[in-house]
Amino acid sequence: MRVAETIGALCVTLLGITTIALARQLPYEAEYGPGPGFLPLWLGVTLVVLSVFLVRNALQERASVAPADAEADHSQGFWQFAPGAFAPWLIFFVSTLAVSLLLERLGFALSIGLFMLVTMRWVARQSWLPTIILALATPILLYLAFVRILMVPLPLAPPGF
Amino acid sequence: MDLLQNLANGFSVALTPTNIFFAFVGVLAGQIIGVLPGIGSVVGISLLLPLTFGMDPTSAIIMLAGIYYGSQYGGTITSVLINMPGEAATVATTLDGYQMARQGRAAKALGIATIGSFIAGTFGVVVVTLLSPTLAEFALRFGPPEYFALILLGFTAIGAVAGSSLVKGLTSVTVGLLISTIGLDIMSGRPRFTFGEDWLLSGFSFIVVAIGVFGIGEALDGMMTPAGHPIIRTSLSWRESLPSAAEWIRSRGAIVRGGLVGTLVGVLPGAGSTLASFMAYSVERNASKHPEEFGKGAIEGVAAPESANNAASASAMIPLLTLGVPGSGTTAVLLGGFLLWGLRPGPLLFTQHPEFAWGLIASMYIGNVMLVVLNIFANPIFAAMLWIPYAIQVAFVVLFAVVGAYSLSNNPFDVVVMIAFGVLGFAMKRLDYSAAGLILGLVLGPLAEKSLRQSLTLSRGDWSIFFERPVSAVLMVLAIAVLLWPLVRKALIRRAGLPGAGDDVQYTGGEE
Repeated sequence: MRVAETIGALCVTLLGITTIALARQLPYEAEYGPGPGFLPLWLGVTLVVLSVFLVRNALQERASVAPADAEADHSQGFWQFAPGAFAPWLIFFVSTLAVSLLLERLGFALSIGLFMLVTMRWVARQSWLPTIILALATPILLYLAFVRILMVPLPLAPPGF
Repeated sequence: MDLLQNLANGFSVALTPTNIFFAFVGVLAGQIIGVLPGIGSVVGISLLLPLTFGMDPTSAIIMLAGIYYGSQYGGTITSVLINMPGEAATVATTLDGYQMARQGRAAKALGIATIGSFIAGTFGVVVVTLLSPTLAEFALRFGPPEYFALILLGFTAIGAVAGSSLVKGLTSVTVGLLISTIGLDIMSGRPRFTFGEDWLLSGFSFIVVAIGVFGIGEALDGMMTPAGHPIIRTSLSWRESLPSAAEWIRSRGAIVRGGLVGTLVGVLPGAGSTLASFMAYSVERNASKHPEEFGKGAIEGVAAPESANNAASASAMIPLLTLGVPGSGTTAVLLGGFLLWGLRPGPLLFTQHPEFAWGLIASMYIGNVMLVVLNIFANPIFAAMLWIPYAIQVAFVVLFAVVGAYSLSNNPFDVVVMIAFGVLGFAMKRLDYSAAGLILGLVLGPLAEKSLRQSLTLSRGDWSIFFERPVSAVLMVLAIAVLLWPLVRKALIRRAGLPGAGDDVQYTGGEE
């Protein structure tokens, strides 16, 4: 976690510096008072100042961990998974990305049905029967609830579903 | 008399069949959201907010507020039966609630939690009823400096109590503020940070950000450790949940004290029901004649925090309704809802939209009665929901998040942006940065910037304007005091020679 903390703090520094650089291109003052660049500039400065404390805290944490504890500390890191949880997490993450990107191309029914099929079978580790029932029933229920009852338009595939 | 007349009008709005239906849907959804571990009120409200666009705003707020206070009831079931809070505000309940369940007294724990929640929650609503009009009238005198000082106090307060450190909390708020500056400048109309892209001119929709940060972020984090928790099997019939005379005598003081602490803390910006429940637990342990029993199944250890979190969820509506300044992530999302429905919460809400404000307040009385009935008679059904595997729960969170983000403007790009903020929310969660702070900064950013720039325009750039007016001076001093408090606390602990951890209870759970 110590490395991740340091990287996170440095990201804040980078964000702050970038904000200052971009805000300097905006007018700091306007005719009537502070201009559009006023707040962003100060937010950038605030982020840089805060990041100094964040980096310091992260480095102090690193220094305070004895070498013997380093391995234990590492195990409680940013990517600490429960035993056997990494593969389902990865499948879940990729499925979430896929359903987001394919929603309009495949239509909501097919993309959500596929998402449920994959997550129920390989993430929730359900047997095939409940997996197929959920993969078929979920898009139908969502269609009835959102499209028919709540009148929320969802992307439909060419067959109209 | 005006008050009673307004309240009566509010009841006439809340008691229409449509609004009773939506109040019931809200408290039921809140109860379920509270029961499911890892899906808190803020996630639930973020996910369901897009569905309320076509609804009447009064019905919509009645439903969403029902989710908020309903989830405080529901979270207790998981705290007691599996030692895993369904809500951040019910973490303190696990300390004695789970011990009571292990002793075969789960029904009693849930029973006293329900009774305490109802009494204190109703007390909180009474305070909302009495205090809101007065505070709204007082807030009419607020100018830009007062508003800016109040928002600054909210930012520093949430920075201080959310996340693992003040610095991280403030960083989250600052990033939220920065995101709010993307798009057209509110005063000059000049584009900022849009990089020539038209789709960035209107900035990021706060709902897309909230759904991503809370919904997807929590789901990705929770899936790293999705292991189930053993559920204590026990009878939860309503007869067994009623406390005995001795248990009632032990609990009644805790309910009163918890209700008072919760109401008071709920009004404070940045505090919220989680802090209220911990403070009530701590107060109760200090006030108890049997402090040694706390942590071992003391019924007061359940009654106090449960009373406090419900009272706080009610009184948290006061700053939101009267000042338009939310104190927590959940009320920040509610504020975003107000803006989407075309309403501006604040002092004028009670005069311009009385049916909305009083209808909401009246519905909170009705919702609390519904929740008591639900909790006494339907707890076995809600407890059965704990058997749903976590992976299935989060799969549905993703589905609601995707559909919700898409339905905002029928734009698939919103879904991609939501996922990107989900990854940011995941990283923030892992590194213990406050997602609630980010959302509060994002939602209040435009008002904060407008107030700041108007104040400095009024004073011709002189910052002393914030200290020359009495109300803004007090608020600014409080904001600075909150910033300095960690240093003062450290110095006091060092002087007294105490170990660093000064708090009675360590909390590392989610946010509200």
